Amino acid sequence: MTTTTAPAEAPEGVHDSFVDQLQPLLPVAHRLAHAMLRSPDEAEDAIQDAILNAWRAFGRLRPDSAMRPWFLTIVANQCRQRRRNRWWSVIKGGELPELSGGDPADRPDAAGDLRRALARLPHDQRLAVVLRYYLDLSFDEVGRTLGVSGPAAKSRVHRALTRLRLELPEVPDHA
Amino acid sequence: MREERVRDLFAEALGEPRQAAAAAQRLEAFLRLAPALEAERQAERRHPRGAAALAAALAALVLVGLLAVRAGGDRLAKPATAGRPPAATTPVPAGSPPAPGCVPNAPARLIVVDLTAQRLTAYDSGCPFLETPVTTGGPELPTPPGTYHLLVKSATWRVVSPYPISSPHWFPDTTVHDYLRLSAGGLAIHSAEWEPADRYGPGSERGAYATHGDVHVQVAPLQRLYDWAAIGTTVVVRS
Repeated sequence: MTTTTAPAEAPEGVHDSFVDQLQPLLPVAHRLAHAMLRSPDEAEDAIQDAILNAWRAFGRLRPDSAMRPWFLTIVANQCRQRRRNRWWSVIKGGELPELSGGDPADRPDAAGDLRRALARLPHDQRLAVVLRYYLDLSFDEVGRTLGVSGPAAKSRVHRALTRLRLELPEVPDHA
Repeated sequence: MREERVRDLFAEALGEPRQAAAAAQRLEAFLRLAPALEAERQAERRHPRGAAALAAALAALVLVGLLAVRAGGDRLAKPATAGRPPAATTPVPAGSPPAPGCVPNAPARLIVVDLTAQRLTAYDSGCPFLETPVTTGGPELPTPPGTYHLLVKSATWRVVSPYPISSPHWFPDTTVHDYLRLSAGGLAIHSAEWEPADRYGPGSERGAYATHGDVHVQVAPLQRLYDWAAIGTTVVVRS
């Protein structure tokens, strides 16, 4: 059966370029969806939808655009969509952990607390911290993925950390 | 708290995606299929369901396309079918009698769909692992014989009619399960929850539950097949 029926407007070779450019991004996209959705099936479905959306938009992508933040934005939008459609997301969110002062990272179940606290964050804040601390992106690239400036991304990350009660004394600007 | 500590805490809290390598393989297969899938979706979207004339024209287009696709599929499949693994009835070389029904020199995983017998047999390391009746495409939309490879596994899949509502082949949007995609053109093995379990098997492709070309398998055996099958598994469809 046919293998590469590109849309009529797509010139020859565009699909190859699309595959070549997106393929290296699949692992990082998968980690993002994994962190945002916490369900293997949902994460994979979100990326499949993101791939289709990316293919639709690929023709309009400017040649000098950075692929990674562009694709991660599409993946993040799909994750937002899926959580919105998921009636049980409220239940999954769980309760805010009991916090009793001290450095949250020193408590025995700090990871579990963080996981539950992350689930309670609004999408944009969760996305910002996941991009920064789970995918290790620079503030500049976090900003491009969120569609805001680098400094705006940084302050969003900080607001999210405050809500997570993980205060940072200082973050170098050039990070 | 230092940034590195936060990073460690995130890594610990979120872990890593399970079976990331297998997922990457599936997603890569999907990436290669994206244009074909999108073209299918656009074809569905383009026909406004009220406009009968346009719908009929598009139906003709879709049919021509499908025929071309099938002809192409057959053409492509021929060299592969010539060298396809021998059937279970192949005489076994003397000296090493394998278990009955085993296929010598088969790949680690092999699925054979016999259209005449309306039966699917999955061979694990050359020996039958699962045998189950199926329902395939009817006389008007037959399942195209050929050799395929599993491209996409998906626990659920929304099947949308490529035929306009005015077509006798039209069907409402349906969610099926354990979807095993075999070709970019659309051939797949999947569940059909609406088909009673006793209807599968010989003759079912000419009955009321005949498919539009896909291969329907009962829910329980399909779950075993789905869990066992891997991206790239060879699937031979023969008449």
